[in-house]
Amino acid sequence: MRAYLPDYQCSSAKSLSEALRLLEKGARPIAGGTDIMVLFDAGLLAPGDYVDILGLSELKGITQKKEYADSWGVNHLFGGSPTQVFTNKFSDPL
Amino acid sequence: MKKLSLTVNGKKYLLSPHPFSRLLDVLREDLKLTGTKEGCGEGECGACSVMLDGKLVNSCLVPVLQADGKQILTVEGLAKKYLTPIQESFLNCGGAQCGICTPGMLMAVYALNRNNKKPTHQEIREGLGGNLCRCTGYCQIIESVQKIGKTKSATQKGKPRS
Repeated sequence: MRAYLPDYQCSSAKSLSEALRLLEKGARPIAGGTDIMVLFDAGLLAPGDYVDILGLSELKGITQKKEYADSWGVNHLFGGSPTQVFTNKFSDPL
Repeated sequence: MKKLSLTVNGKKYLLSPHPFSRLLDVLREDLKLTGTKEGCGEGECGACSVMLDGKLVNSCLVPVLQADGKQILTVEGLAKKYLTPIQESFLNCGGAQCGICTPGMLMAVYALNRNNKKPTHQEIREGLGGNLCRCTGYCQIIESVQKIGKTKSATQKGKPRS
């Protein structure tokens, strides 16, 4: 059975802080749809508030900063300048 | 409800669907663009493939709020005055039988062809990997892709679109 649309609210976060604010209020994040939309169509997705975080530029990629904490929470400093080790500029295979 | 702006086949639409509506339903039911088909509705078959900001997506898996402000190309947007070489080739090679998978196939081939004008057999198979066809057995579809631009125009006037 299809889900009942009015039981679901979803908004698109404009910034990471807005997303975090909504998450704190109990919204759940969605970033894609491959699984969520299938569950939703089957009526198996929990009703409630959702926040779409797909467009958040803050969440695109991983940046290596000068200071980092290791797995024991001890802070370290890198020798060199901060280097971006990975960005989300994937080349589209198509 | 928040207004969403979708640009579909070059035309801008302002809509206020539920944000969790499937892009597929908005295209088919709100915009009456029924060229895009629903096959399985769970992202397995590719019949609902459309281009979303230059990326091939299954429109049954896209909540419409993710398409806000984006460019969408559906099968209706392929041919302008004449059929595209892709469509001509499908016509000539028997690449369509019952036709349910065809709009998705055409979009997948369009996506494949944008960066690869001469895909190998393997690349075609990979490019169409997300699209299921239950009629033709894929041979004619693959042949259609290989013969794009090489077959005679089936409509007699099918000039390639620039």
